[in-house]
Amino acid sequence: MSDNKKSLTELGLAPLNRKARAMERAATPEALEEVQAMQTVAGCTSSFDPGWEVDPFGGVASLCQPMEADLYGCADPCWWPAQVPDTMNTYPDWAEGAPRAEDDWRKLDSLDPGSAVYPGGNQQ
Amino acid sequence: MTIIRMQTMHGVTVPMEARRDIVKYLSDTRGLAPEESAPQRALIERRLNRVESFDHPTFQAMCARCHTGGRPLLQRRPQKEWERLVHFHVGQFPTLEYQSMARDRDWLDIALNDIAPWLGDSHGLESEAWQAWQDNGIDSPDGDWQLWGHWPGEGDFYADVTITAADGEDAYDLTLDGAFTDGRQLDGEGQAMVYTGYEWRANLNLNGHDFKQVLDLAGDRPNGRIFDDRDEAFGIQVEMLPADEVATPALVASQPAALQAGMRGRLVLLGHGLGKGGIDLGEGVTVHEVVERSDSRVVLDVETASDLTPGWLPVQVGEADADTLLAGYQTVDRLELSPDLGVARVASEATPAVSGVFSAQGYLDNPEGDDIPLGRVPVTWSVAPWDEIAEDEEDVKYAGTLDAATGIFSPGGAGPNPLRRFDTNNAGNLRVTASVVGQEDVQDDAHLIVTVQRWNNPPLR
Repeated sequence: MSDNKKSLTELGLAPLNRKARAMERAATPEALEEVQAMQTVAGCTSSFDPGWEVDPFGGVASLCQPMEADLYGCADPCWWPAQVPDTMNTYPDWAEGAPRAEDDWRKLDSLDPGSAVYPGGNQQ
Repeated sequence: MTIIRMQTMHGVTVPMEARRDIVKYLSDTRGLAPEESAPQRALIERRLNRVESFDHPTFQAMCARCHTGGRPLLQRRPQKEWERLVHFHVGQFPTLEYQSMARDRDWLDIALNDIAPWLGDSHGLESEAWQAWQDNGIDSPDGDWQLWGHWPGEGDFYADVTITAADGEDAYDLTLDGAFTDGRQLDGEGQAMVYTGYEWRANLNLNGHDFKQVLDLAGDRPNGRIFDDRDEAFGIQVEMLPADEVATPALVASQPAALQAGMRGRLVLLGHGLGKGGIDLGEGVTVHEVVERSDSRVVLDVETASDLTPGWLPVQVGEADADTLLAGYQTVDRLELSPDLGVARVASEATPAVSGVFSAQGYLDNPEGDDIPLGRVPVTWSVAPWDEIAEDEEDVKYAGTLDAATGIFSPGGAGPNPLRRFDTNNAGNLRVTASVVGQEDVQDDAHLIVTVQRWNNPPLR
């Protein structure tokens, strides 16, 4: 929402693309409520620039899509370190052998350290 | 968490067995008392799709922006150690200071001079609760128990559980012998370890499915969750009662929670001291057969009259009675879906799907007090676009499928989808609706976000 609390339409601006339409929607109280709600969904990031699981408007239309197109742009600068292994410090070799995420995403491993507390002999 | 950081970030080699021993030692000698872990049971049980709230106005933005707030709040440190945790985060994840909700403030100053002192005070190293727990504790769980819950997509179930001591400190074996309320058999076995005197962690196999089990044993009625750790949305909240305890007769649970007028089926009543005496379910409910009866359980074949009066049914089994345990209804007045907002994730071989698992609870209006809960009532599930954008993007077509009978949503596959605009992933913004069978106008909606996978998957997120 703009500083003067007016919507884009009220300012004489017409939303032309998907993201602009979503911004326009966020100018309504209902959309702001959605944004507020999504800030606190446990385990999902609320770093909405632009968001990993959800976008600032409580949907998915304004996320980077497909996510793989910019995946290493997230991993390299440690942008969603709880969701995406950061190759800056923690997992420098995570993307080794997968130079182009859009093609090689199947080669990327899930990093699940498992829980050591369960007995019975398996790794979990 | 800390040991894994030592392994991942500092190259410490710790075999899994040794890691378990270290966790066991630390949890037994420097753990949390039951009342200290109580606020974070949902995280410990890996319940998804919930909203956290905190006693500090900026803790969400400062510390729970990337992960749950429960991760730090399950720790206890002196203030100096909380400060070190802040420095660790800045050093390990240096861009955190210029992400949203950090670049608009002096993040480090607030973290060190506001958050760390607050945590040092509210979540410091020493506590009276921990000292009291070490002084008292509880008895070993070996013995006979009765457990019950609802398996999504399968139904309500109950089981006799036998826990026996196994080799190793606080190690146990368990067997489960039970049934779904429709009579299908439910068997299982597992191995468990108890940490801190009350934190039960088990590997279970139930009817051929592998699960994890987390229980808090500290209360009179141990409770927790059985879940699939490859799809944590898929879980079963369970409660457990000692079956070998001499106790005052009591009715504790009913499966189902309500009976509809003009129906015949099984009713399971769980509790203590139910083995003898008359059984009366009030006017309009006929007991055709006592299918099974023991001190802790009665399984009945019952039929309700077509003119059953809606409301609470007075239940009497021997010397035990309950006025607000079992309800009767003609029609459902209100439906409530859970969760309000669910997040599912697309599936790949390396990152299994996170399903959407919804449930629909019915209610009766009650002019004399709180609405009367009817438990899970028969509903039909459907899915629709959440908004115009989702409709334009055909999210319903690509994001996955919702089982109309069970309310379980199975997400689509991961990866760019060349059939979608811009090769978009199979993400979606959906509206899940349940309608009461035979009362299609009684319905409720929930919001389902189907989103991308995550590759960092520690047990506590």
